[in-house]
This record gives sequence, C-alpha cells and structure tokens, in this order.
Amino acid sequence: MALETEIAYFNEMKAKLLDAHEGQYVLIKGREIIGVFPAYEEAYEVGFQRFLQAPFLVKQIIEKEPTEQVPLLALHFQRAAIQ
Amino acid sequence: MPLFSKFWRQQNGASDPQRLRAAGAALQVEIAVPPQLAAALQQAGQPIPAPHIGLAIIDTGASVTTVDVAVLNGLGLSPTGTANVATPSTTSVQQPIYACILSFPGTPLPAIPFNQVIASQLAGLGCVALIGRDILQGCMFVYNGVEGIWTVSF
Repeated sequence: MALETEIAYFNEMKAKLLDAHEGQYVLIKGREIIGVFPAYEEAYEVGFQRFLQAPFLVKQIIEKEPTEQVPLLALHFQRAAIQ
Repeated sequence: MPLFSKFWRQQNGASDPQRLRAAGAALQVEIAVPPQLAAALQQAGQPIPAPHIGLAIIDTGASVTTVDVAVLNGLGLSPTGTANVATPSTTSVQQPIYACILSFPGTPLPAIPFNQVIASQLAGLGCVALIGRDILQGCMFVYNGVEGIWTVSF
C-alpha cells in the first residue's frame, strides 16, 4: 500500500507531534518529517515542490480522526464483504 | 452569486420529475491537478497532465467528495493520505486521499480551488465524482423533485 511507511512513522511520532503541534499539518516522506504547517495548502505546496507526483503524506495532527460518511461506498464495501 | 439550474422537461414542455429522479443532480465536472503541482511541474520542465472531464453527481449523503481512482491515477497523482470511511458494520475502512481541483465547465459556477478527495471505484455508477457536503458547505443547493429542477449556487 502506498504511504505505508509514512503512516507508520506518523503513528510512531503522533504523541510527540500532538504535544508540540496539535491542530497543525505535518508533511512526511518516508521516515522523515519535512515540516509542520498551519494550513494543509502550505504542506501540499512544499510537498509538490519537493516530490512532484511521488507519494507523500499530509496529515492533520489531531487525537482522533473523524470518520467520513459516504453511504454509496459503504454499500460497496458491504457487497464486497458478502461476496 | 453564480447560480446553475438544471430543468428536466418533457417534449410538451411539462416538467419531468421522473427524469430527475433517474439522473439525480448531475453536472459536468473537470478534474485537474492542483495548481501547486502544475506550477512545480512547469518549473521542473515536465508536462502538466490534461484535465479529465466527466459526470459528477451531487450526493448530500456523503460528508466528503469522492473521485474515481482511475481518473486520479490518469492525472499522474499519488495519494497524500488516508481517511476513515464508515461502513454498515461497526468498523470503518481506510480509503486513500488525493489532492485535486474541480471545476464545472458549461456552468457559471466557480472552480473549487483545492480539494482533498476520497478515491474509490465509481465507474459502475456512471460518474467520475460524487460531490459531498465538504463542497456543499460553501453553497446553496435546492432539489425540487416535484418540478424536476435542481439548483446550485456557490
């Protein structure tokens, strides 16, 4: 899965990031924190400048991530689980 | 405030609520790489992928906009995160997030300058995007099923 390394590193660093930067956005590539930004657009700008179309992770530093509601996708997942 | 309305009419000019029911609130959408990426590609002397045009359906049941993963990959985009998406069971699943811009050709509606969208397979729905409440939160949307009309205003 793309971003597996970045997501694992974010989870490793989450407690420290929450202490220092709660609510801000972190840009991670591999196991490196490229920067922390007040707005996600800024994180993306730096990410695109440095990595162009290669994968990188932009994540808001929050305790609990929201769960999105997309009923059509939920139906799709349910059907996949049944088959 | 730019406004776009879609009327479904029968040949005799009478309203056609059934066609609206079948089609939903659908409009043309253009999906393109974010301007920050376009600028970075230009600086690097690399080509900017051409936008993709397809059909979008306004989905008031969705809290976030979804775009077909094949379209996003076709633009040369890579995922930039994941989002938890609720399922009918108690667990949620993680879906990839991509950054892109959405605009609506043939309408006076302004482009949505930057979006974080969920990627999924939508080909079976006959559309390339489901416009969710993340975009609707910035506009007025009226669905008049009786008259076969819907209106959106940003």
